[in-house]
Parts: sequence; C-alpha cells; structure tokens
Amino acid sequence: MLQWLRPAEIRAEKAAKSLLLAAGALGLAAAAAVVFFIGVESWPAWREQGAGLILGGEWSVGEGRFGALPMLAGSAVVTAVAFAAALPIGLSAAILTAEFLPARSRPLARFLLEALAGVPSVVYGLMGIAVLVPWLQRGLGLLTGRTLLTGGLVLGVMILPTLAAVAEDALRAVAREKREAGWALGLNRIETLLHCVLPEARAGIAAAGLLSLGRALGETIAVMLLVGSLDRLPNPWYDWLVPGQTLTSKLGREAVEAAVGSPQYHALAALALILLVVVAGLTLLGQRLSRVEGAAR
Amino acid sequence: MRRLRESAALAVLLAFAAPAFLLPPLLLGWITLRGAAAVDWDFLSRASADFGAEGGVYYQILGTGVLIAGAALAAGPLAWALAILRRVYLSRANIRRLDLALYVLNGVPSIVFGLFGYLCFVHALGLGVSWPTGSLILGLMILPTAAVAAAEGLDAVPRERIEAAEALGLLPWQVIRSVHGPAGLPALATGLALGLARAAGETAPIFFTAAVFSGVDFPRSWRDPVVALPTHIFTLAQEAADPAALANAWGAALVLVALIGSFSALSWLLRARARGAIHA
Repeated sequence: MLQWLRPAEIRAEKAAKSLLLAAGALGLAAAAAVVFFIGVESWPAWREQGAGLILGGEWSVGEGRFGALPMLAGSAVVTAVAFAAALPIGLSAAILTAEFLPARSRPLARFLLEALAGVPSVVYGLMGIAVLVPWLQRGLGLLTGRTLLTGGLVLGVMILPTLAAVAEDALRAVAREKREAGWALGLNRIETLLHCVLPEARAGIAAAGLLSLGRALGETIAVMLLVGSLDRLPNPWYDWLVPGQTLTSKLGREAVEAAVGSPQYHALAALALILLVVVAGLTLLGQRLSRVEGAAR
Repeated sequence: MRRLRESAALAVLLAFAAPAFLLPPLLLGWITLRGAAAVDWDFLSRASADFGAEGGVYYQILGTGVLIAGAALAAGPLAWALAILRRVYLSRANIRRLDLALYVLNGVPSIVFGLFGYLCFVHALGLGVSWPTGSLILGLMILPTAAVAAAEGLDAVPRERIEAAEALGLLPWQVIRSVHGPAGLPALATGLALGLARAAGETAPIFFTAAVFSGVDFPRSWRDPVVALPTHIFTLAQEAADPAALANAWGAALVLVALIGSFSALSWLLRARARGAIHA
C-alpha cells in the first residue's frame, strides 16, 4: 500500500513513529529508574544489617547501627491515628453526598473536598504548629506538643479528601436498580443503604481505604514538622503523646546531611525502598479495585 | 420504631459528615485571615531579608514559577507522546506495561522522589542541586496525571472522525496531526494544570535537590538552585519561635495557596471548555 505515497510522507510517518516509541521507552525507563536507583543504593545496607535493619531498635550513625523499628512503628501509629480520624468522617461525607443530598449539591461537595486537597502539605504543617502543637502542649501539660498524635491528627485531615472522593465514586457506581429493589421491598433509605448499596460498593470503599492509607504513609513535610523527630519507640506502646519518628520524617531529616555512598545513605535508601514498595503496592491495589468497580458499572 | 431508627441514623451520619464540609471553609478562611495580615504590595515585590523575618517573597514566587514552568516543559510533551502512543501505535500488552509504569510513578511518595532525584539527577547525571533537577523531579511526579488526562481526552474523540481520516488514506501520523492533536490538546492542558497545582506546593522532592533557603535570587544559569515558596514556608515554620518570621510564613502560605487555587481554577475552566467543544 505504501507505494502510493510520496517518500516524504513515508519518512515523516517513520520518524514520528520512532520518536513516539522512544518517548514510550523513556516513560518506562523513568519508572524503572526510580525503583532501580533506590534499590541499588540500599543494597549494601540490606547485606550488612540484614534483618536488623527492620527489627533493630537503635539508629546510630556513629556506631554504624541502623535499626528502622522506631520509624516503622512511628509510621504505623501516625497512619492508624489518621485513618481512625478520617474513616468515619470521610465515609459519612461520601454516603451523605451520594445517597442523601440532592444531585445539584454534589459539585459543591466536590469543590469543598478538592479545596481541602489543594492545600499543600507544608501549609498543613504550619497550621498544626500554630494551633495544635500549643493546644496539646498547654492543654495536656506535655513537654512538647510535637507528638505522634499531633502528626496523625493533621494527617487525618489531609487524607480526608481522597477517602471521601473515592468512596463517593464507589457509591455512585452502584446501579440504580439495587436501590429500587430495596425501596420496592419497603425498606427505608438507611436500610436500603445498609443492605443493598454498601455491599455492592465494598470493593470501591476498600479502594478508598487503601489509597488513603498509601497517602498517609507517604506524606512527609507536615508529619516532619509535627511529629517531634525523635527515634524512639513509644513506651508503653499505646502512649502516643510522645515525640516519635516516621519513615518519611527520618528521610526528610537525614537525607540532607548524609553523604551519598556512606553507610548512613545506604540505610536511608533502604527506608525509602520499604516506603516505595508499601505505598506503591497500596496504590496499585487500590487503583485496581476501584477500576474493577468502574468496569462493572 | 423503624422510622425512629432511620432518623437517628441520619442524624449520626450528618454529625460525622459535618467536619468534612466545615473544615475546608474554616481552614481556607483561616489561612486567608492570617496571611492577609502579612501580604501587601511590598511583600510581593521585595526580596526576603533577615532570614525571612523581614522583606517579602518576590524571588520565592519567581523560583516556584521557574520550577513549575520547567516541570511543564518536561512533562507536557512526554505525556502527550505517551497518550498518542497508547491510542494509536501500541498493542494491548504494551499498553498494560505503560499503564503499570504510570501507576507505579503515581504511587511513589514525594520524599522518595526527592531521594531518587538526589541520586539520579544531582549525582549520577551531574546536574547538581539546581532548578533543572527540581523541574525534572516535579515533571516526573506529574507525568501520570498529565498522561492519563490526555489519554482520556483522546478516548473522547468520536470514532467516526478517526475513521473518516483513515478512509481518506491518511497514515497514522497524519491522522494524529489532523484529528487527535486538535481534539486531545485541551485535555492535556487540563491534566497539566492539575499536575502543576500539585507540583507548585511540593516541598519534599525539592528541598534538598533544587531549592535553598537564602543567598540566591533569580537563577542565572542552569547550574543554579532557586528559592521557592514551599521551602521558604517550611524553613520559617521550623523557626516558629520568632513571631515576625511566623507572620511572613503565613503570608507566603496565602500566596502559595492562591497560586495553587489559580492553577486548579484554570484546569476547571479548561475542562469545562473541552467538554463544550466535544458536545458542540
């Protein structure tokens, strides 16, 4: 077929195609490079510290011991607090918007959530420092208001938009007939919600949870400003009104001062690798779940 | 009894949902109030002095502008190419590979982007702590947003228009130039504006790869770092003891939120216009 065309057209077609394919290769290479650079840089730390990297409770640059347990525990606590605070609020907001508010108020609800999502991390940190930190410090008579709880609460506000928006999409995706079936049985709106709508939206709501967990774990700057930045395990384990450290805040604090190629940098890269695997995993799983829902629509 | 239960359940739902709708106006109002106390023409047009306690954020605004302009230049063409490639040239299996790469990029935490940028751009590629490093990192961060938006725009192109072009005997590249290009660009612009709104507020990827706190004004070469709004707020917030510095942090926060708001508004406008164009 190509013989009907002028050579210039064929040349343009071939050039365009190879340029676009090169761009595609660049896209793939970029994603691979992120994993590759972090993985390679962290390799010596895994080799030298072994399981101690995850189970060790002490992080001492001077002694060459790098145990990430306080950071792992800090990330878990802060994320749990954020999730516990955001889940009831976000789910209720999603249910209210999707099931009870008139359809024309939906853009306004979306706009409010997007406005909340648009406030940058560092400004959340600033707000936490200006209000929550002094409140907790004075109100509870703490040595410092920068605690695991402080970081977790602010983080809860930050993941609220993700949680509410994805959960609302999941509820919207439930077919109208499911609701009509409930009404036809004489169920009221709450009963219809519990028995007909929520079970159908399970996968999408799980996706909302996973995506917001991923966001909470990966969030850096606000947590770094509010969490206190001490490599300590809370003792007893449920005392969260003490300064702590998360994976992200540790990276933020030390990546500035560590020299590339030093044991400290290898250990930091190992923290980054843990973070990358967990957060990217949660995000991938969440996106897959929410797409399954979308396809079934 | 059942009716009572319904009302009670609704009341609980309303009580729990209320913070989600009250927090946005409260927090934004609060930022505006605290920020407005510091922001005036001087604040916008003067360099910062005395470690942020005096002066304004003129160079911080310019620095953030440079970073995100560079990010748009890096991400825009690549996102566009990926969307076209996906729609026109790739097999199903390769589309899945490309999507996986984009999803992975979308799932990388911002501080890990910072660490990666430090290892790859600052060291391996020798770009140093400079604004191009920051632009490349931010561009990579917003690539998935821009590429997915552009791909959705291309999916919305009516099938008949593509078939008409193909029936004229046009080669794939000619179809792209005459049909996909004009129809998909507004979607790309929407996604890019959305991504830039996020990129402008990021601190973690740039604060040890591209931005410094003081000592520089406008970058004079591609080896220079910049001062930027988010890193400025970050440093001032850490020295929260000084009230003058804190007041200026709020001012900078208001400027940053306004900047982000205008990019979000731009993306809304573009989206609305693109929809109108497709339906017209």
